[in-house]
Amino acid sequence: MSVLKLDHVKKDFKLRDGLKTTTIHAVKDATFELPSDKTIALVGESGSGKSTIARMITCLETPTSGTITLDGEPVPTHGRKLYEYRHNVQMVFQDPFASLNPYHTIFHHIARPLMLNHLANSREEYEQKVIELLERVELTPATKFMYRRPHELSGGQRQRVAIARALAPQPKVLIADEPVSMLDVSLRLGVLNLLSRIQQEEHIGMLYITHDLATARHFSDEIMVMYHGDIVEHGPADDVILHPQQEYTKVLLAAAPDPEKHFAKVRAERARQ
Amino acid sequence: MTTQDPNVLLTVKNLDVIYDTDTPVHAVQNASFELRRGEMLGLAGESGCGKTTLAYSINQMLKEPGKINSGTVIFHDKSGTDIDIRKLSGKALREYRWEKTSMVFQGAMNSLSPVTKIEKQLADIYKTHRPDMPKKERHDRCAHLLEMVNVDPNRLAAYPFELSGGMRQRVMIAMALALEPQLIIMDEPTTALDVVVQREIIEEISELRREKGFSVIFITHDLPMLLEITDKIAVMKDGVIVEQGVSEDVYFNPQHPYTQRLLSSFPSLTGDRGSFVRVPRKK
Repeated sequence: MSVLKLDHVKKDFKLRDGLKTTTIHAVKDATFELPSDKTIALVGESGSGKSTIARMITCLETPTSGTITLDGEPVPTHGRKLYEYRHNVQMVFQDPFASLNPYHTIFHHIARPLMLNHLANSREEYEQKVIELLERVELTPATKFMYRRPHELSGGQRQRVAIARALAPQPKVLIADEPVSMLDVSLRLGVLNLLSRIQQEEHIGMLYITHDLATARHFSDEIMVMYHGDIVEHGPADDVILHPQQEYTKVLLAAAPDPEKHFAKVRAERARQ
Repeated sequence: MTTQDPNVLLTVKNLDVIYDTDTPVHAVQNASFELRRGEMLGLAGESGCGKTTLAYSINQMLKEPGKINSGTVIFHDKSGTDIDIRKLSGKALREYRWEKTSMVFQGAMNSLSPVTKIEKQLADIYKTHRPDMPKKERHDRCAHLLEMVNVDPNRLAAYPFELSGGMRQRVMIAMALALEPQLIIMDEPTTALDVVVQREIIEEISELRREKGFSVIFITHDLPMLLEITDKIAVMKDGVIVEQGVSEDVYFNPQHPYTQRLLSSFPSLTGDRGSFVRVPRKK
């Protein structure tokens, strides 16, 4: 079983405005473990540092200090090792309308990571693998979808293609950065259910970044709450939602819409009158 | 005409809207609803279901090729006169808009002009609708508007890019309140905001509504939020209002299969999993 570990990871950004330089502490001190049999949700408001953590894990940013390790190996910074690391850590982006290239077919999108990894030897073999991947993300009949272009697909279908592409190099860790926030509400659960099934069947460690507490609770095993660069609370999903310890978590929970609680209150008030 | 309940503000009857393109799109089909004074109606549905089109046609703001095919929209003014919105045009229409019905637009964060200061953008409304108002009073009113939405009046001199998203949103709401309209249409006013800021703004809107007594048509796809804040809800699908009723009833006893599906798409925060199929792991 593989583990992704973050140990006292810190990231500062320097902003220059004329002669003034200000430092923004995007991530102050992040320490956590993501084993391959778990989904961890990372929640918090915009600007709290959620995406910076994702970008550091995927090597799009280097931490200012602290270490990130995968199976005990520190994250490489260059060369062959980095190349291999990136196959192990894949990302699903927020906007499926922007993350697929409109010029290329679905086949191209999914075959490319396979080619870069030399996972097949002939055109037939590639086609076979692409079909398998499309079936895994429930885009069937796969042969119908394979030679279409992104504009012919709906948002939900595109996000499934993005997931298939992320799965192609057989990653150990999958980072999903708000994977459903751009999708129509009726499609969201389908995509989340798919991600959840894949995570459990294939033992991929999943980091689910979101601001939606309700799905975070049901979708993940643990929840981490971030606020201004700090992980202020981290615990089993149900505990964090039902028995929050930190003030900020409580604020966040009070702000999330919950008709059940609301109508319970309304009815209680009516009964009192 | 039948006797009119004086508490009704807006009556929409059999409204039909078509986008007259090569393949005509029937964006709103036979929509009927009533809005009472001081009431908040939620319009829910997914993208492309026609909710924005419906809202725009109430204000006669549809652009070509969109047009109202049939049906009536009657605005029952406070003064007792009924205004048939479809018959308005020119000066009368300009007077009706913003004076009686104002709007908070979709993506409101980006609907302020980036090159004009907040004060000028707010004062524009008074310049157009109250041309006789002295400059001093205009300034005071603008400052008061910002106070109403909890923005520091000193920010009148700021450009929109100097404000945060939540503040820009508040300025848009202040703008809608400027002429104390009887109806405000809010088209996804909080979609791009954080949950915490969203909650603050929603509460401010409810507070102002209690204070001023205007009606609101609130459009969003965020059903749980809508259920909490509205009195009545109409659910739209493919241009048709498939269900409407009191929010509480719609939540506990949805009649239409689409409403049921939409509701089950939102797992409850504190309750059970809805249609989430994830198998809970044994701990």
